[in-house]
Amino acid sequence: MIQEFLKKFRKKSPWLLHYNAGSCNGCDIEILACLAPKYDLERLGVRNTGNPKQSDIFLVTGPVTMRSRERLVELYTQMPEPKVVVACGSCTCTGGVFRGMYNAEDGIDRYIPVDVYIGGCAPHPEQIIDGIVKALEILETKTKEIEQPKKLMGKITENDGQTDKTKMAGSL
Amino acid sequence: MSWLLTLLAPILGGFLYGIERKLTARMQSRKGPPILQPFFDLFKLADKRPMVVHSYHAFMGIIHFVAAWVALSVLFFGGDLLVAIFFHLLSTSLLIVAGYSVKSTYSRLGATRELIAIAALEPILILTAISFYLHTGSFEVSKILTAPTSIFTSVLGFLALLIALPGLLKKSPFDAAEAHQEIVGGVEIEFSGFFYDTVYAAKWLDMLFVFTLVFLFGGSSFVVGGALAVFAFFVVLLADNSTARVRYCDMVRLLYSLAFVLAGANIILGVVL
Amino acid sequence: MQELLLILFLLPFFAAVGVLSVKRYAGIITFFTATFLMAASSLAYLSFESSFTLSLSYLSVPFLVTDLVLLGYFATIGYTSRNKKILFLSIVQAAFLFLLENFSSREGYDIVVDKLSLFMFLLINIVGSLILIYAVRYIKDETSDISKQAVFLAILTAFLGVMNLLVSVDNIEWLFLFFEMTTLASFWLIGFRDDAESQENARIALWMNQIGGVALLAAALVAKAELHTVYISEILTHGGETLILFTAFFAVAALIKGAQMPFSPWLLGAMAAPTPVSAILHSSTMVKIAPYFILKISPALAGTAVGGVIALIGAISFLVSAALALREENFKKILAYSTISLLGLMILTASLGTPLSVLACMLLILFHGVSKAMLFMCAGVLEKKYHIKSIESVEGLINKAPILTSLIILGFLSISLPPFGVFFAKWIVYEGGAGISGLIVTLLLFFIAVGSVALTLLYFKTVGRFVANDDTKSSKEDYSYLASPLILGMFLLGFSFFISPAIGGFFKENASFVVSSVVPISGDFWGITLPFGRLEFWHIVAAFLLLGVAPLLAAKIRLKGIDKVKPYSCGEKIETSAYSFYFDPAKNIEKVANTVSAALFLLIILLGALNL
Ligand code: SF4
Repeated sequence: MIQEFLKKFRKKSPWLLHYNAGSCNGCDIEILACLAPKYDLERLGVRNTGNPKQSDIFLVTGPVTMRSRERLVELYTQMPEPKVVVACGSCTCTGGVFRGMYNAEDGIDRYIPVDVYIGGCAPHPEQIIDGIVKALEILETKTKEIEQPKKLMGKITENDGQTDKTKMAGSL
Repeated sequence: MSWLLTLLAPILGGFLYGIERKLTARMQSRKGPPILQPFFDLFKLADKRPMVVHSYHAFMGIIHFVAAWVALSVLFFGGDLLVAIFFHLLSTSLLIVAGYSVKSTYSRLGATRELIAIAALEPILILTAISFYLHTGSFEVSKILTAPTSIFTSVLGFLALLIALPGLLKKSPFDAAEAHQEIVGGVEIEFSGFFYDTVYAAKWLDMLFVFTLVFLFGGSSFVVGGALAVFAFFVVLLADNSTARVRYCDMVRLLYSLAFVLAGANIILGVVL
Repeated sequence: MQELLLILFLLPFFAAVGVLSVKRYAGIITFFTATFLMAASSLAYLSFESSFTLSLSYLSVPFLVTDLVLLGYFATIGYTSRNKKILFLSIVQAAFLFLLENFSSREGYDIVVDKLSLFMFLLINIVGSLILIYAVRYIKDETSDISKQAVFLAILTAFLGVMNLLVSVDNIEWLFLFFEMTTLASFWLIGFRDDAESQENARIALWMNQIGGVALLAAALVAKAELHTVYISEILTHGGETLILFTAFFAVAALIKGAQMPFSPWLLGAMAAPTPVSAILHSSTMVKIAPYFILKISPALAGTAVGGVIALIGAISFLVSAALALREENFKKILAYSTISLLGLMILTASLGTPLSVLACMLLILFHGVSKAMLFMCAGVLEKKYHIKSIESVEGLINKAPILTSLIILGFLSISLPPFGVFFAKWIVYEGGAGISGLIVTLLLFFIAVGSVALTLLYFKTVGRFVANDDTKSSKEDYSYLASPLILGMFLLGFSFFISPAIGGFFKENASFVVSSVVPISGDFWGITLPFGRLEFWHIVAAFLLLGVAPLLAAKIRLKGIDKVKPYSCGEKIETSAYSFYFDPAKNIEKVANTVSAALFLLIILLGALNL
């Protein structure tokens, strides 16, 4: 009963975790525009927390560069369920203009399960708001089961990027 | 009455926080979240999968909430103002202990800054209490509320408290202890789900505590007290929306050179005159 | 009553002789002496009816000889170690003693055991004895040389006797002897480890305390030359014109013993001594001579300029030592600074001389003694068992040694927050201080307000290091050391419940005796009432539950069925850690405070001479 009661509030207070996985910042600007007075996402109860432990929506931008992969997965696993992932921007969905590049993966869905894809390079704020509303619908149907990140498609080599990866992150 | 106020404190505090968010939004010419938004947040957080860093940390969050409630109830039951202030310190210190107990850089940084903020703010609160004594003849809230209003005689003390308010409420420009964009919320960072609920609600109680202090300046005239509290509320919001965060050491410097001096001057005037 | 006093005065000395002659049973003898002293002091307090007086004038000559022997010993130390200050001060003191002999004085009671003495007995014998018991265990780890162990225990035991006598003599010449004996004990015990550093620190302690001795003799000289009496009670009642000068010198002796600001180095250096020494001499008993002296003269000080200046010195030490401690990471140093700081507060409250502030001072004396003794004993355990000296290396200790850590945390909480004694003292000072109008008092209140947050900052930053927890279970804790600290911890926790009747009864009675008027405070089980404020019983219970019970429960309870996660670190998997913060309040604050305080010391004498 209490569960049913509490469930109602999921979509009324979605807190965002915004993560930039190597985007060109175009999408980030648009997200900020959403939060700014003109579009005012906060009227939906959205708050940009910056802390995975208190967030419900994982809003990712960027194609996932090699160096941001572990962080992406780490942040995802640190979010308590129920949670949804929103891929914001073409390059987050498919790699977009960065597709096939040597230093980027093609979209975040090879690492974590994505619930909503928002296309556009960069997507219009209205689209983003639309996507978040869509995500809220999905959030309502989710359970508190632990959601796992996906298996990797490529293998992380010991020292891609410039730093020694073994020190930074454990094996995924 | 005191029972009712004490029992309803979290609800009142929630409303206050809701109003504050709405007002902030209106000040930025946004539409803003509904007034009930804080409660939505509360219920939603309770529905998340629970996780803790370790049990001690999570428990201290709950105790912090209870302590904040007790501090407020000391005020509402007309108790001694200094005791209430010390309970307020106690509740903050429990949060600080929680912050230190986890092996997390941000949490410890936040706890340290919180401590430094206390070092700057606590003397002002104590001097405020003393100024209440000087102008009303008692430290007891119940007696202060029957004495004539003390705002005219201790304008400086009111100003000092007004300057300290953003620090007490962790609002810009004195929000270095929380600093969402910088240290991700400081001590709050490792709390999640239900356990964050307690810390979140404790913030509302803190808010209520602080504005009750402002209200006391009205003395027996509740209209003046209410007006002062509303005025302070607006001023704090205005400052929050129009200033940038200062570094924590500048915060200490500013609070000591402005608020502490004003509060001290107020007391010296009260003693001399 | 007489028998009990006899035990208190003489048993420690006999026990010391016993310990030295039967070295093998040193521990057992010390243990039994300690228990006897505890029992005797409590019985003495309970059976007290009226002041006990005794005239022992035939002892004057032997005491004078002892004085001279002692000074001769100091002079030899000064000579052999080429320390001119010690040599010079010893000669000055001897000269003063000869001067004193030129004046005659009336007959009177040399020993007066009054309420204040009994109050001090309780602190000295109960806390001191517990430290003795702890020392028996501690010294085994300190040195394996049996005769050295025996010497150590003998000095500590005899020291309790000296303290007992010191708080009961009324004859200022004798007081000087015991004062010098405590200095001697300090000197021996600080130098106990026998390395260059502790020898040096011991000598610093010696010459600084000798200045106190000179001041005491000067006070005696004033009294004897002008009033022809050596009895403090008589001086205080018939002081007349010279009273202020007498109190000025007397207070200077007290301030030096209490390590107030330019003289703080001796107490900081004293941390080189083994921990029981720090506990017994340098935090809970010997330095309490300072507030005790001031309490004795506080009726004369109330409302005088001298009293104001003494309070100011206390206030400066209170604030500045607390701030200076923020840069230390050595645990014992932190405790030492905080002791100096709180001694400053005690001196401040005592020298204000109003009934409420005297009551606050007595609360501080007792509870600071208990808390600090406990903390120092814990510091000793840290050092000996876990080889920890710095607060940076205590991380995770809460899992290894939960009881020890809880005691340390309790110790720090008990000197800052409700429902423990020191909080009540602060509360009473604020409310009592605000009650007196006057610019000086207001100024002092500012010092207290800022100083106490500086202390809070210090304590919580230290506590923060101790609660750092990595949630691992580990092997069993070694309890062999913990008996005494545990008893004190239990006392602190248990007593917080009865604090309001105790303030309304025990402390009120004693403080009323000191100020010889009724303290305007009333306390029963349901709360404490001051003229302008009231603290309810439920406040105490709430604070007790929140601070005393809840954190312990939280440490015990393990949440079941809840996932444990790692702390947030921006998605990185690097091990991160944040240390405590340290800062120097301002570069030359120490220098300035020292200079100002030194000037104020001179001002005390000057004001005394001007009779203000
Ligand atoms: S989708 Fe386009 S605008 Fe957005 S981050 Fe990628 S490249 Fe930049």
